[in-house]
Amino acid sequence: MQKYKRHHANSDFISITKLKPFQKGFIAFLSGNRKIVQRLSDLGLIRKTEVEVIRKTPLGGPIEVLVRRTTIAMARDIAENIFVVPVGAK
Amino acid sequence: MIGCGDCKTCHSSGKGSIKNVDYIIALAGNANVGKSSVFNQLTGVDQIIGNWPGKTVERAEGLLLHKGQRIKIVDLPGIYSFSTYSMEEIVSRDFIALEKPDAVVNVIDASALERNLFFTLQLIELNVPLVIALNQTDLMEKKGLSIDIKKLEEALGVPVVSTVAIKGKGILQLTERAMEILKDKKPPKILKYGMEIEQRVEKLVAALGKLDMEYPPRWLAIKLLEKDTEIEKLFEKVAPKILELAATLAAEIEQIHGETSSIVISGERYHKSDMFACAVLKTTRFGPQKRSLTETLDDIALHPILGYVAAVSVIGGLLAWTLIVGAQISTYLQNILSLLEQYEPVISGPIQSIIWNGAFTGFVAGVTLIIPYVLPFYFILAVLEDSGYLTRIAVMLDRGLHKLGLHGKAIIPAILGYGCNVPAIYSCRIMETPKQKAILAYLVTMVPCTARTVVILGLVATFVNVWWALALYVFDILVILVLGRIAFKAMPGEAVGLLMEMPDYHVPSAKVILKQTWARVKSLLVIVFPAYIVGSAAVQALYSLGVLNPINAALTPVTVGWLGLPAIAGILLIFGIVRKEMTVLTLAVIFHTTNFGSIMTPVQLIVLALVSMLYIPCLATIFTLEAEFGWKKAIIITVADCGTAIILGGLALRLLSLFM
Repeated sequence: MQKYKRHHANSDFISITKLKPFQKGFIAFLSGNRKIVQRLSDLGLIRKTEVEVIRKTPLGGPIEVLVRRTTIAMARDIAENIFVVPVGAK
Repeated sequence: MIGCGDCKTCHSSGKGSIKNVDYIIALAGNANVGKSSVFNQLTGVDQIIGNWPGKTVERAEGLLLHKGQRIKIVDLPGIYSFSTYSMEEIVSRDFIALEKPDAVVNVIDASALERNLFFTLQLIELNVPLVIALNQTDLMEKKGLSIDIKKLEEALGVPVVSTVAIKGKGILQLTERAMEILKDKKPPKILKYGMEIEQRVEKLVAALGKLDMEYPPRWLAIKLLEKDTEIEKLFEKVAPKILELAATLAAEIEQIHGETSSIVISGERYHKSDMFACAVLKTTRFGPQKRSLTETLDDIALHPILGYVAAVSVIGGLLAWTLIVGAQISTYLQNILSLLEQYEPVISGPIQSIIWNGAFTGFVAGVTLIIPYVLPFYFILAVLEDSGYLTRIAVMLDRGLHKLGLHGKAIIPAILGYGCNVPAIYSCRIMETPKQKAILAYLVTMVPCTARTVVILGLVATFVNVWWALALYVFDILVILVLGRIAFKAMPGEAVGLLMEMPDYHVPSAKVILKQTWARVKSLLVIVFPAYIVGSAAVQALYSLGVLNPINAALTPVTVGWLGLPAIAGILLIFGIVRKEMTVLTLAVIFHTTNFGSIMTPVQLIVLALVSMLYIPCLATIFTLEAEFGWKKAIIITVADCGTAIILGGLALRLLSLFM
């Protein structure tokens, strides 16, 4: 995974938690716990997939993400490991 | 039991299985796709809800009678994939691969086709005769989408039936298509993935050819490339060479894609399902989408302030039910039943009447627990669950529960615990990891159930004051938070954060809710009634025979010396093991008075209530812990609870004596 991060070091990807509500992005890569990464992939968060942040709950609570017509709620620390290229960014 | 044939096991244990069937069909699909509606439409009243052998995963089966044939329908847990993320996934894939049902009905949500087809592709990998129920097509139409069913059938090579299960639409066609598939037993055609994957799958299939494995070879090959730990275990002893080959091939895939092989393969499946979805989906309505009801409701349910207000009100409403309405119905039932026999324990006189009274009061206690508290609790929970609101509460409360190594979903068992610990412990299975399940169950045993509420109200609210009673509840929450934190730190194992789909809200189906409530209550009856009836009779008989006196004497250093309670306390606490409210009932019988203020000081009353609240899970709860987690964990939790009660009780005595 480290190698992959370096490979992408030049593109301007950010954590999905940095997107504002209703802002879209394309998934660049996932990092963190292997099991969680697998779960996220199974839920459809695959590289190059379009995602949209629907809502962020206050106090660092879970965030809601729309992916493949499904809304998924995830803890903030899981979301922090999802990196996206925001729509509009080159 | 209707339609159960000569099955002898199911009604006694609740864990049995429908026998004498011609075919077996498994229902598989994601969570929140209306799978339970399909299950309820296909099967009659006669459902069996139990556990998968040795697993804390719920297993539901029912009987479908179609043209004189008996077909067993097994409802697999709602899952998103066949990986090893949760026990549900492992149980489901093993059932399909090893027990080889005659057909699988894959229920999919028409409005989230891509994600659902991802799972369908994995069913196809398992090489099992398959029919697809394209469900909730009405909601799909509302969202301005349509699906070309013929085209989808051709693309997948699997029959597809459009259904609206909640209204019973399409169920007959689904049954008929499933019957056709059952008879030819034709597995679906192979759907090939990208070349770099497919070549390596073929190499592995060829290598597997010499081995006699129970799982389908192509599926095994894919799982090996994914480095699936459960499957790797199968090969460790039998064919380590295969593992070496798989490792090399997986490494090659990782080299090409720069990602873990299992992620690459998931990506491959999604790529394929996106393609299918793209080919069959049509947008029927263009222009800006209308704001959906779900979005509007979520603006309130997940609002930074209103969301908490709503969550707290709903939980508060549930607890209010327990304390006010439930208690009233319970008293009413008790009054009726006590016309037959005295409700207070009889502990002197002929042994037969003591045993009879014990068994009877145990029965009454079971009835007055289940009808007023458990039944409505399960009912309301099913409504909250089915409507989709429960997931919103989980999101709102996630942050706080995170500190305990749990997450938002843990709120469900916690709330249920205030009604009765038994269903609450069963519901701990909604957590993902064994560690989280066990910690939550431990914490649930400290949640004061209605029986303990009787004790707290009867001792403290009545004879000290209501504020001390409330203080006990608040103190209990603090104890749970502190011990939860300690348990999380001390126990090995992993904990995962909240990660769940947010289903759209919908009006719950009465049929599904009633059936679910009944099926769950049914599985509870078999634990509560035996424990109550036999336990009450036994403990009363033992007491009247004088067997409990030496035990009470042995407990004196703790009960009298450390906790400062009257000498009889040991007896009360032993009675309380069977049913918590027995502590108060027995006290009344032994002292021939219900004015406890005249026999104990306020401090003693508070300490006794505190100890009763925490000291041991009742007999039914211990059995439930054993059923879900095994004897070892059940004993550890019991001992931990006793220790907590004794330590805190003694400290409370010393602290309260300073100013009371």
